[in-house]
Amino acid sequence: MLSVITGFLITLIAYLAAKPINKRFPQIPLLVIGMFFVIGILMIFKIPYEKYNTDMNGLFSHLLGYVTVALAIPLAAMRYDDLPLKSVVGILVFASISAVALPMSLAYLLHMSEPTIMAFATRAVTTPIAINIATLLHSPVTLVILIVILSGVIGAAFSSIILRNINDERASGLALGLAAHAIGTAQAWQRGAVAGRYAAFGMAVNAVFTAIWLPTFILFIK
Amino acid sequence: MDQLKGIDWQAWIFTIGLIIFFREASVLVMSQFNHPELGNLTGLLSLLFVLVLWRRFKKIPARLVDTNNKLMRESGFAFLPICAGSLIMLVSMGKEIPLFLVVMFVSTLIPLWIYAKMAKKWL
Repeated sequence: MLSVITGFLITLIAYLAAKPINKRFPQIPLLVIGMFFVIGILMIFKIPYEKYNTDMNGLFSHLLGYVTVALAIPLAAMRYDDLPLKSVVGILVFASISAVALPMSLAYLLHMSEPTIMAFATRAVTTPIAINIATLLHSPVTLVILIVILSGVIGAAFSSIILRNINDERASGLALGLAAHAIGTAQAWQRGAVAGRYAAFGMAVNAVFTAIWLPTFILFIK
Repeated sequence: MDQLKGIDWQAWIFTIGLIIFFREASVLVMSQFNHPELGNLTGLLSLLFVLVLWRRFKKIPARLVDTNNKLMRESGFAFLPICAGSLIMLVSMGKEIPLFLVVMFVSTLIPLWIYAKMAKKWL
């Protein structure tokens, strides 16, 4: 119990310490600053990451679950009547297919192993869906989690540079949700409520759509 | 003290309670089908279904949406331990790091830019 409280305090201190730095340098996402603080504090107190992760796993898997479920509220509050349905469907289908095809093709061209290529299929879906798809595709689950988390971190970390000329919170949010799933969605909420809502929409629809077509497609070609 | 008085406690308790209830109930139901990992997604979909149904008859309370917006702004906190872990795991990959990172960067950042451009043009 004490180690859980210690771990929680480390995470909280890292998060709170990252806030003023993020205010000073808003182009660096809060999450990126925070994770360096977590690693720094763990190193200072010589706490192995594995121990910290084991202690935090139960509590934070609940928190991650609550964040996922909480996305239902902005999704339900969103106005869909002014959304051009054909365009949105077009973007979602393109995003879902390209998010699978691009990393897998790159991994294949770079002569990576077959399990790694298969693991890249899950790059743009949120972790719970990715784990299910990984099981169906027989790809290594730990690698799949690393790919999903890292793509979210990369998308969130570089979003301020990549999206600097977009000037449309709806477009920025949707792109973040589609390309960088839950972590991208958390970053989109830092940009504002409109970006956050569109990111949640993109992430949720992409996750459900990919979870349906990808395993079906793989089972079909096998 | 004034800041504490300004907090809409009722809305916070209701919003958090609603989220916890839907998540835990969904995990419980999905555990019965031997798929507890799908509990989060089922919770999202079931709460969305209930709220969309509610929206057909009544407006979704602004207090619920406002409180949830505040919660979502701090949602990055929940990702901190696994994000730190991904960085550590990446470092431990050794020789494979450059190739792995090339695939990760190209396949994340180019689509991010393309989707944003498409969405800006079409939305």
